[in-house]
This record gives sequence, C-alpha cells and structure tokens, in this order.
Amino acid sequence: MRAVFGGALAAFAVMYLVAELTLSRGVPEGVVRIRWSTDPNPARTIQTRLFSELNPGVEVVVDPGSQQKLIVQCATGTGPDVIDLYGIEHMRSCAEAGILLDLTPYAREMGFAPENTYPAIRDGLLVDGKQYRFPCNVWANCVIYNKKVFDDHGVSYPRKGWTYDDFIEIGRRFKTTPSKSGEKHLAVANYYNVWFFQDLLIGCGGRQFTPDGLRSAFDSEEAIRAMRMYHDLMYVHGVLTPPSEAAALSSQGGWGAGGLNWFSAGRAAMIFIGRWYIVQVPNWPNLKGCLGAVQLPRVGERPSAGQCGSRAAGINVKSPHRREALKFLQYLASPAYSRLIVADGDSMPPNPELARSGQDLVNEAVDDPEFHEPFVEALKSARPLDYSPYIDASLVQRWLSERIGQVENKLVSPEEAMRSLAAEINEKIRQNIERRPDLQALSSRR
Amino acid sequence: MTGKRTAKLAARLAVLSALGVMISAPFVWMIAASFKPRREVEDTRILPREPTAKNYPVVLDIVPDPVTKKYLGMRFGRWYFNSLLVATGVTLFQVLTSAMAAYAFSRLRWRGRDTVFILYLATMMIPGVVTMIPNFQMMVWFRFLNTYHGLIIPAAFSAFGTFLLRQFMLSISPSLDEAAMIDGAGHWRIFWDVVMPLARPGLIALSIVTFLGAYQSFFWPLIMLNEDQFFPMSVGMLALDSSYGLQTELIMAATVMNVVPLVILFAVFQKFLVKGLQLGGVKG
Amino acid sequence: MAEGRIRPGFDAEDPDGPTPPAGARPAHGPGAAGPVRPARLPPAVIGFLLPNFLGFLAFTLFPVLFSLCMAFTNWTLKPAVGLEFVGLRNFGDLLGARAVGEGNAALWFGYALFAVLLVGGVVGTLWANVAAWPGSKAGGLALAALGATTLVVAFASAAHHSVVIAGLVAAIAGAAAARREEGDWRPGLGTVPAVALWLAASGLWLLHGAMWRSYEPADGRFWLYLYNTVYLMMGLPFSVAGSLALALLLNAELPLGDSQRRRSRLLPPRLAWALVCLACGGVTMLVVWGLGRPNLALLGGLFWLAAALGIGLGVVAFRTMYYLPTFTAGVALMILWKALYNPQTGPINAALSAVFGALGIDAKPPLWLSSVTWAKPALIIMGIWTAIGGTNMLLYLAALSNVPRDLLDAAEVDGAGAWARFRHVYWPQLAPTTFFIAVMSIIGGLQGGFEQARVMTGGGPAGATTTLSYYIYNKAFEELELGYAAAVSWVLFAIIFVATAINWRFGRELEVEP
Repeated sequence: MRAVFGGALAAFAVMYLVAELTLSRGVPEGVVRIRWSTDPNPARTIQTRLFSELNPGVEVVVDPGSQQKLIVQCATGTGPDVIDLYGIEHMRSCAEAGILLDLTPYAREMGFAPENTYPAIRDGLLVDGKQYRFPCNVWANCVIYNKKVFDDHGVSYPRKGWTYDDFIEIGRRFKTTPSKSGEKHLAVANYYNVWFFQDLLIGCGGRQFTPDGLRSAFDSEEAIRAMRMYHDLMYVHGVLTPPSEAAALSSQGGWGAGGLNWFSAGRAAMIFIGRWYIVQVPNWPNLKGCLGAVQLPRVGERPSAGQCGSRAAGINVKSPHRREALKFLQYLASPAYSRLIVADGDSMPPNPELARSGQDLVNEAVDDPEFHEPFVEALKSARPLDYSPYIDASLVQRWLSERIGQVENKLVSPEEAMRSLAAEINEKIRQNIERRPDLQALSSRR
Repeated sequence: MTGKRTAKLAARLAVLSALGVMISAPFVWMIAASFKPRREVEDTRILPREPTAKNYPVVLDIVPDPVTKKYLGMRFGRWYFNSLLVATGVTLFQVLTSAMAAYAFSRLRWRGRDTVFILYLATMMIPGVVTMIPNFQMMVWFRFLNTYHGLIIPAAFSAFGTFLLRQFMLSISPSLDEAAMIDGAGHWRIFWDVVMPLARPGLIALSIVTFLGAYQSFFWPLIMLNEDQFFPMSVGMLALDSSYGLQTELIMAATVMNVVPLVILFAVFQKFLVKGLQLGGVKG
Repeated sequence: MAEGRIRPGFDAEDPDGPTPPAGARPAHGPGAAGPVRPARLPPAVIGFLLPNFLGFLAFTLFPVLFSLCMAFTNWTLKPAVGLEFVGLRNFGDLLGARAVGEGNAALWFGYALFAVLLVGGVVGTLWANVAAWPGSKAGGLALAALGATTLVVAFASAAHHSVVIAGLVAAIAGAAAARREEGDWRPGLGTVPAVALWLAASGLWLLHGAMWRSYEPADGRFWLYLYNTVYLMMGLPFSVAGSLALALLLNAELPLGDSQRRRSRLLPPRLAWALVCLACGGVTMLVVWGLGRPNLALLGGLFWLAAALGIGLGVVAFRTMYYLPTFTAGVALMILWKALYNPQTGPINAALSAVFGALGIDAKPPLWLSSVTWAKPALIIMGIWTAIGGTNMLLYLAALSNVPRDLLDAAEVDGAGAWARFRHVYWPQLAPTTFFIAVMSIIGGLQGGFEQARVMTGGGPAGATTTLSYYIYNKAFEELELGYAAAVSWVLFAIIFVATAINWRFGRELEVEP
C-alpha cells in the first residue's frame, strides 16, 4: 500500500516538475499585457495582432469567461482590463456594480466618444449621462431570407417598405403552396424570442419604461398591442413557429440557438437577425449567392424600426494598465479595426464612415451590395431599449422572457401577461426606492 | 444441467449487452459525430454519410479550420497534460488526506468526534454558488491564481471523500485493529498495513471518482486561470464555442480524444478492483 | 454509530484473522495496555485528522461562515448601495407573504400558524417514525385517514394537482407507518405530528380562499422552484436501485468459455464464441441496413459487439460501457440529449411513434423539453439513464467485494433462494454504502438541476425547469443581489440539513441488527 502511494507521489512529482519547468514566465521586457474578456473567437487573434502592430509594446490576451467569472473576479479586484459587454443590461449591471471606468473624461480627446459612432446607438453607451463603453460592433436586426426557398414555393421576395400584413401573407403562402422540390420549409426560423418581441415593441412605438424610469410601460397600449401581435403571429396566422415546432429546430445551444442552423441548412425561409449572421455563411456552401435582406416589416403606417444593440468594450476601473486599455478603445474606433469587422461580417463596424452604404459592406461571404444595404438603413431608424435606474435590467429581461414563454405556451393571454409584468415591475421599483436612500435621492431630483 | 446454466448465462449476457448498448449509445453518437462534416452534425442518422477525418487535425491545430481558414490556436497537448497533472495531484492528496481523516472518524474514539463529522457533512450542504466569492477572495490572498498548486490544493480537501471512506472503514472489523495493537503496532502501522489494504475497493472507487471529477472540473479553473498555458482541457475547449457558433463536430472530436485514454485507464484499473475483491473481501 | 457493533459474520474471537504485521515489537506506548481509551484527544487523532481538517477550515469553513453573515445583510456589490445589516428581511422576502390591498392581521396569523403546523407536522411525522416513538402506529393511521380524505375532497372539488399529490403521499406514508410491526395502537407522542397535520390541513382548507384573495407569497417563484427541485429528485430511488441491480449483475464473472463442450480445437472457446457474436453482428447489420434502417442496423451491430466484448473481456467490458456517460459528462452530453429529445427529428419520439403506431394508440408523442409538463420528466429520464451505470454502481461494486464469501456459502447451504440471499446477506452488508448514497443523493439532488437549466433549457419553458440552485445563481450573478442569494442558500441548507438528519437517524435504525 505504501508502495502504491509512494509510486504515485513520485510520478506526480515528476509531472509537476516537468510542468513547472516548461512554463513561460513573465512578460518580456518593455511589453505590457492587457486582458480582454471576450468570447474566444478565431477572429480575435487577427484583431489583437493588428492592435499590437499599431501600438508596439502592448499585447492583448483574450480571456474567455462568463458573467459569473467576471463578477467573481471583479469583486476581488482581479478582473480583466478590457471587458466586453453584450447588451445594455450587462453594461448597467457592471456600471452599477462599480466595475466600469467612466470614459467620459477621456473619450472625446481620444476619439471614442458617442459622436464617433452611429447616432442610433449613442444612448446605449451611456448610463445616467456617463459613457461606459464603446462598440466593438453594432447591430440592428433585419430579415434575412433565402431566395432559393422562396423560389421553391413560388413566393415573391419581401420588398422594401413591406408591412406585417405582407409578412403574414408570405407566411400563409408558405403553408398553403407546396414546394417544387417537395421539401417542407418553415416560414420563419425562431431565433431569440425576446429580441423579436422587443423589435416588435419598438416597431409599435412602445417603450419599456416611462421616460422618468419610475413606472413600467409594459401595460401601455403599444406594449399590449406588440404582445398581442406576437401571439397572433404565432397562433392566429401561423407564421411564427410555436414552441412545439421550435423544438424541432436543432439541438445546438451556445450562440446560435436552434433557428440559426435550421435557416442555414435551408429549411426555413426567413430569419430575424443582425448582419452578424453572415459569419456562419462560409460553413454552409448551399447559401452562397442565395441570401437577400430587407428591413423589418412595418407596423401599420409607422416606419420600420427596431432595437439597436452592440457588443461594446468597457474598461475595468481597477485595471493597472489603464493607459493601454484606453488605447485599445481608441483602436476600436479606428478605421483599421472597422475594416476587419466589415471583412469578417461581424455585424456593423463601429466607425460609421466605413458603412455609409451597402457597397461599403461587401465582403467575401456575401458580395451583393443590395444584401447589406438594409442593414445600413435599419441602423438609421433603430434605437436602443430603454431601462430604468430603479430596477435591475437583467431582472426585467428575465421576467419579460418568462412572460413571453407563458404566452407562447398559451398559459396566459397577452394582455394578462403584460399587465402582470408591469404590476410586478412597479411593485419591485416601489420596494427598491423604499429600501435604498440613493434611489430616493435620484427620484426626488427628477 | 450444463444446458440450463448456459441458458441462464446467455440470458444474462443478452441483458447486459442490451443495457450496454442503450447506455453507451450517446458515446457512440459522439464518436460518429466527430467524423461528420459540419452540415451533417444535425442529422438524425448516427453514421456520417460523408465521413471525414479532418476534424481531428483541426482540433490538434495541425491544419486550419477549412471553413474559416483560421487556425484554432488550441494547445491540445499542453492542455491535456495540464488536465492529467491536476487530476493526478488532486486524486493523490484527496485520497490520502481523506483516508487519514476517515480513519480518525471511524477507528478512533474521541470526544467531539460526531460533532466535527456533522460539521464536515454540513458544509457539503451549502450550495456552492454563494460561497464562491469569499472562496475566490481567499484564492487571491493565498496567491493561488495562475498556478498549478492553486488548482490542486483547494480541490484536495473534500468531505465527500472522508465520508465515503469512513463508511468503508466502518465495515472492517475492529477486532483486527485490536489484534494488531496487542501485538504492539501503533496507529500509523495499523493504518497502513491493516486498514488501508482492506479498504482498497473503497480507495479505488474514490480514486476513480475523484480523478474523473478533477479531470472534468471546469468552473474553478476557468475563474482562476487567465494564462492559457495553465488551462485544462475543459477550459481550453471553450475556443470551440464562440460567436462563430457551436462547432459540435470539433467539440466531439476534442471530447473523444480527451476521454478515450481515460476509458482505457478505467478498464485497466478495473483489474485492481477485481483483485481487491479477492484480497479485501475474504475474511479468513 | 454502528462502528461499535460487531456485524454479523465478524466474530471478535475469530482465530483466522490476518496476522499482525511482521516484525512488531512489544510496544511501550498506549498499545501495550489494549485498545485506546477515549479519555482525551490522543495525539494520533490530531495527526490523522490535521491535514484534512486544516484544508477544511481554510477552504470551506471561512467562506461558509462569511455567506451566513451575508444572508443577514443587503450586500449587492453595488457601491451606491451601502452595506447594511437588515436582519431577517431577506428571509421574510423569501418565505413570507404580502398583503394584497388591505391586510388582515387575524388572517395573517392563521396563515403563519397553519404553515408552521404543516412543516412541523411533516418533519415530526418523519422523525417519529424513524426514531420509533410510541404512538407512531396510531399516528400512521391518522395520517392515512387524512390522505384519503384529502384525495376525496380534491377530486370532489377539482383542486389543483399538487393537492392530489399531497393526499396520495400522505395516504401511502400513513399506511406504511401503520403497518409497522413494533408498537401498538395506543396513541402517544408519535401521534402528535399527525394531529398537527390534521389541524394544518383543515385550517388551510377553510382559509385558503380568503387567504389567496388577501395575501400572495412574497416570492412566488421560490415555491415554484422548490417544487421543481423536489420533483426532479423523483428519479433518484430508481437510479440507485438500478445501480444496485447492475452492480449485482456485474459482480460475478461471466464464466463463458469454461464450458466443457469444445466447439473447436483450434480456438479457445471464449474466442470462438466472441467471433460467433461478431459474425452475428455483421449479418444483422447487413440485413437491417438493407431494409433501409441504418440507425437500427448500427444499434443491432453494437449489441452483438457488446456481447462479443463481454465474452472476450468479461465483466470489465460491461462496467466500462456503463460508466461511459459519466466520462463524457458535461456540455457534450447535454447537447446530445437535447438532440435526442427533439420532438420532430429525435430518435426517442421516433421510437415512441413507432410503438404507438404498432399498438394502435392514437396519440402524439410529447414535446419534451419545450413542453411545460414534460420538461421535468425528460430531465428525470436523462438523469436516470446517465447515472445508472455511474458512480453509485461503482460504489456498490466496491462494497460487494467486501461481502464475506462464507456468509454467502452458508446461505446457499441453508437453501436460501436468490431473493432471500439478497435480503439477508447482501442488503445488510451494503447498508453503509446505501446510507452513504442516500445521504449524498439528497444533498446533491436538492442542490442539483443547475447545469441542465443553464445549458439545456435556460430555466425551462416558463420557469418549469428552474431549480433553486439556478435561482440562486441568477440572483447572485445576474442581479448581483448577493445578500438575498445567500439567504436562499441558507434556506436550502436548512431543508437539506433536516432531510439528511432524518435520513441519518433512519440509517442508524437500519444499522441495528436484530
């Protein structure tokens, strides 16, 4: 018995020694290394290498992680230097947690202020008037469609300026007209239902909160109309795929929930998504030359509008390499980085100069300028979602997602879902204000 | 008589085989998926229509991903070694310290023993989520970040192992201890020469479980490591799940390479479990 | 504790015990006077315990105490919110009730009283039966009557299905308690919990309408998630029983090839049979593939391959096969199961449709992970499947190897059949392991469901697969409400602790041999 343990210990000691001796220690002389917490995408290597070429002496290490990792590390002061923030909720969460550096003093002179990017996203970079992040990419959803599938059913493509009535009609044609090839197709591949609903909300002219942030606007006429439309699209007109069929979409989780791969495989006609979809295109040779895009359908007479969002980078307030991190944000605003984004197809580049028209955005994956044009247009009329300082943004997101799930599963009616959501949010706001002196001060100031 | 026995054996074999297929079917799917090209991964057909062996070199960073034309940058060799190193270290220390503690809890009588044991047990009942931040803070204080010992030492203490071995040691007769003590052996001797050999099946079971657990551990290495030269495989494989999409066929290839040596090790270790059967079970 | 009791079969005076280590000299230390007397903490204890205990103190105890303190504060990691001690407020937010409109103090008091009686009654009933208090039989009868009454009332008034389940559980538990052999029918201390449950049930029934109108739970989602968590544990007994069955099946070798008949003088019989199986496999695959069912062909071929491996390598092959899901645990496995559960293209529903068709049943297979009612059963099935050949089986195998041969031989000589052998030889010997597995299952089960929620369902359609640990994670890391998350954790801890204590007491009862 002792021999066994002794042997194991010896083997372990050898392995340990080998491991320690083969480590590369420390940073080379004169080089500063900054950590960028983002998803470990193969494109990052190119992006970081370009940054190092333009800023000699600074290296960027990609640090994969999760929300949990970020919070735990930042709570103990060991967080990354540059932090990717995937949405407004994420930014608000981190800003309120005191993780992010207020960029306002540096932004204007270093060139990554809100003025340096699209008008639509500017509010999405601020919390209470202070800037906390700058985009790595910007997106506004459009409808991407597969021309081959449309041709198969003999349906004409969606046209610019189409409305939801046109959308319903297209869906109906897909269900009733058999395809020439005999295959069945879904009209719309489900992507992320919360985003779909939020686009619909903005399309109807609605908001999530009142302008002062003190009450939820989910029980407003526009919001209820949006939810009712969502429900009807699914169960009355049969255009959207209800959960029973949504589950038929693939098993893959991660970044591309079911619908993405279903659409890529050519089994669905349309998908509501941003330009970053074309990152997938090289994987699917069947899509070459078949893709078209059009802005989101209009609600009645209103212009086409949806939300705009951004994967944007902020800086850790406790970063020991603040200067280098700020240089990284400056790099994000530069044309060089934006050119990489255009080539990659990772949504829209942060620098609007490089995305003035569809022609600017042509890349290897999709070389048709008419495909990219709607994305440029969409970004002009999009706006970011509004949140309230009196209630946690990710909580609102989760409750909304829950209600959408309930409506999808026909557990409640759309009106009931919206009213109960608004009531719950208002109650929570009331409770938060009651318990937090800082929020009381804020509400009395407004 | 022989015919009936053979029939019973055949029946047993059939049942075991059927169960074997059912239970290991997912694994078969995994191996098959690792030989599929991207567009076939979704297929319900288990075997690929156009099998490709390209996934493995891509994962091993020998060739770039044919679709994106970019190298994945996976340091498979190093990460694999890290996983093995950490798993070995954790298993070794955990089994040793747990066995010693289990000895104290089962063979020795002392005041407060039950209280302390319940305390041990109670700490397993706290959901780990909330203790994560203070735990991590301690890792920072002890300078365990981005080191090997930082991955091994915290994981080497477990109430689970202590509890398990205590149960095994409880079923060993105390008369053996007494006989040894009468002959003048001290506790250390009794521990090594009497109790541990008899507890061998339990030790092996714990080793297997601990090794596997440490090998697959994902979250703590994720938050404690920033430098990829320390990553175990579980963290390294994140590179295959990014905004480029979940690359299932590559993940399956990486997982197969990750797991197959373990399976072989396990099959080999089985013999020791069986040997333990003969040594540890027979009382007299 | 059982360590002091001599187990049947272990004779203290057995002269055939292993000889003491060679070279032992007469000791001058404590060993010379006989076994150690526990007067004070012997140095041996410290030596053995210290390494583990130090680690325990450093890495476990401190964070645990820290989180306990945090449960009583409003800690949120947000600098704008000053850290304050808020006492029991988090617990109130979690477990309490909130008035809808005007409150009614009497109603609130009634609600609280009956809730306490309910919890006390449940815990008390379990404890009374486990600790064999006098009057438990009468209590069991009362409980069974309560269960029956509840069922009748529930059906008559079309109550929510959780009431039906509660009634069923009460009836069965009561009947089991009443059937115990010891004790008599006189009421005693053990009847009190049942009385408490009667009071609680009646009170809640009378008040429930008024209560739901005037009060709502402060955190309704907590109760839903608690229900989800407990529901998902329903598969555990089956999983453990399955592991035991597999361990028993795999315990003995497969002595194939030791047959007297020799098929061929060229090959050893083992190899010959293995090759025969492989040949059958090849034939099966060709035939079924030709019939156009490639997946079925593959499975058929695998069956024969498994048989061949079993013949060739023995039980080792099967143990490895059954342990495979545990090897591949994690994201890969969950991705796979999501594909399996796909309602339109997954093999599970394909098989079910075939079965329905064959039996002439006109029904569609369920939607599994996207259906509110079937998501949890889907997770349970997946859990059983992957765990049945896993760690528990391994532990049972290890424990089985400790079963003394002479006991089994004695039983066989006495003419005991397989079931009698199991009940009287195997089961008592396995008791410590079963106990361990039971305790760990409860501890793990109540904390479980996290990975499934995060990777497979995102919390399920409308929160149907969110468990308490996922809830805690969301509260802590998404909303940064760490104080509240700590409070939920400690409530969960309390539940686990009580359940384990009951289990522990029950285990002690089992370890007392008649």
